[in-house]
Amino acid sequence: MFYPEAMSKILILGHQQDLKSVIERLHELKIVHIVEHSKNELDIGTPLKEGEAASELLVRIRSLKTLLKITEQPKKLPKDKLIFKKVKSNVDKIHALALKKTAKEKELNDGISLLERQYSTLSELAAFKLGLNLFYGYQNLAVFIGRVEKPEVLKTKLKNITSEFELKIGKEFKKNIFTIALFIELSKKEQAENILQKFKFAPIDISPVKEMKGKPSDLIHEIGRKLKECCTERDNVRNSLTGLSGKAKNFLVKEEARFALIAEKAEAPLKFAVTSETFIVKGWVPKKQIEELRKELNILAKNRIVFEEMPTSDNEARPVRLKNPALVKPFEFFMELYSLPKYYEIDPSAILFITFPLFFGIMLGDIGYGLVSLILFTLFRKLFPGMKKLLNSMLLAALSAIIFGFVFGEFFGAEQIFGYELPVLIHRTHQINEMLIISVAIGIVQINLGLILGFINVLRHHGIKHAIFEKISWMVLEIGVGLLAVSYLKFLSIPIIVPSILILLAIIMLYLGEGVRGILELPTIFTNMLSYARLMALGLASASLAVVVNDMAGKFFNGNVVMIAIGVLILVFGHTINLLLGWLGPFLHSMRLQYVEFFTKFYEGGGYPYKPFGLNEGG
Amino acid sequence: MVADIGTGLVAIGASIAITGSAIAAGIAEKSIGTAAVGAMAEKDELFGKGLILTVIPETLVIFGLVIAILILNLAAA
Repeated sequence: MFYPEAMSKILILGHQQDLKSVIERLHELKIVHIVEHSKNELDIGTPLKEGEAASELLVRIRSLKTLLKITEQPKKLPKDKLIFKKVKSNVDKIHALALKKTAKEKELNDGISLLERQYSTLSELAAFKLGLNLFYGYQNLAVFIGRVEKPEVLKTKLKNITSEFELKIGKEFKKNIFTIALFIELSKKEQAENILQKFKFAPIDISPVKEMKGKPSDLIHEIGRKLKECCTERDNVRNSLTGLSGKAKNFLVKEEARFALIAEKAEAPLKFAVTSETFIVKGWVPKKQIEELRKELNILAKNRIVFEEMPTSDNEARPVRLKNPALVKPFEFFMELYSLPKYYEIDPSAILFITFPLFFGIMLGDIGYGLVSLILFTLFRKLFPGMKKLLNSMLLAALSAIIFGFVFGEFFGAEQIFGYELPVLIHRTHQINEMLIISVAIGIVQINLGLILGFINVLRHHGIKHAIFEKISWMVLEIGVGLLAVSYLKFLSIPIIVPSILILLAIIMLYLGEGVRGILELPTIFTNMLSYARLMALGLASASLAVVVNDMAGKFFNGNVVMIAIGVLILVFGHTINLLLGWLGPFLHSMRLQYVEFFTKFYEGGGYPYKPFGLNEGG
Repeated sequence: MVADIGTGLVAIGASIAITGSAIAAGIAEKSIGTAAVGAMAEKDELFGKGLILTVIPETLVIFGLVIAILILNLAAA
């Protein structure tokens, strides 16, 4: 419970002829964490023969899924027998169809965007009542088509430079902005440009309609009709694509799962070391499953396979699988979130199982909030199966909140349940000093527990000398400072020399154990203890807020029906907000006390997870 | 309730202890939080570490609160 699963390093050596069946069996067993072979004298293996075709098909299935916008991920493996040719021809068929339809869709889209541009240009030009051929192709005239502000003023300005021009004013595009067509003698082109600029001239591109002949007002109907036709056709193509995607979805997702599996197996030899005739697999297996593996391999290829447990050094990094009873399991979530313990380290999940709900309970500590949380977390567990581990631990935390609700005698902030006075062990909002002392006392206990765990860790790994200097030194320091405080507050009369010597001793030990850094960190242990005051502080804040909500709503309950309705609204709204805060705050702070105050005393972390071959995220 | 000026000053003293430490914690957390979110965008696994680093300055407020309570206690005595 307090250490990760024991792992053994194994080696499997066999003949190439058994390679495939060994891979199959290892994949089924799902117990070997394969260590990838890096090329040295021995080469790495090549993928199995059938792997190539499978990988190719897998890539095509995946690209087809993207093409058809299928986002569903495979969950289950198909049960039916694989007929490769049939699957391939089916994929080919769907692929060809999908390609044809998406190409058609693209073509239609391009056509539609051209038609749309033509339509908008024509609708602007139509107001001039001129044939299209009149807008371009002049030798001695410059033509400007676009939008300007105040065209009448523009006209008078243009008159100042020449009389040889024609200004046609089209429709009003926006307030005071008109479409215009200006025909002006070529020699005055630049001057005209300068003037136009002052009127915020924005040219209209007539290139989409240059190929057309006739009057814009006549053409526009034709274009509009074509546009409508194309849109309907595009919608049809899109619909049939959706239909195809719906029909092909199950097949594709199913085959993706199958071929991902085949490809995974086929690529396994890339992790192995091979010679021309043999292959070697190295990996980690939970110690208790070694015999099972040995038996399975013997059944598979008796006398042709060498299976050996390899000697390991203590410092060799091993994959970590946490091993805890079912009740403690959810609390492994906090280890995964932080960082898995190293293989030889103590796994503190079992301690979190006690302290996390304890802290959460002290901070939330309300029968009403606890009950609501319990119900909601149970509901969330059904709704979000992916967050099961977290929610299971939160369920325990909610239970603890109910228990502490009885200790503090609070029900939604009130000290009664529907008229029944609650018995109170300790008053959170009145007995602040007592709560403060209790909180810090809990801190002292947990921090010393952390130091003891740290002592064990260091003892196992670096020996007794280091363990004493690095961890016991802190305890000596605590005792020294504690005695100093006690004598200063005149509870006991101790000669000042005793705590002084203890503190000096602790500092020397720390220097020997952790160097100058240890001395720099001297005060942290006391700030860490004071940090547990948050147990009191968050509880006080949560309880006070609940009381405020109750008081605010209470004033309304003497009035008529409307007033009472307002009161109920305030109650519901206020308590919802406070409950949300009551989840966020206690959750984060309970977690923080573990991570920052507790873990820093003993925990290193940085272990890598045990991922047996065959246990893939997707499958 | 009639409070003399001394009570008022004590209350102000206590509130300064909380306000100052809360502002300080806020300033500290701002920069840490920014960096932590930036790091998380690069690497998802850093969530746990980022969270811890972000909440470290929160202790400042707790100290402020403890001091405030001490002030109130001293005044009551």
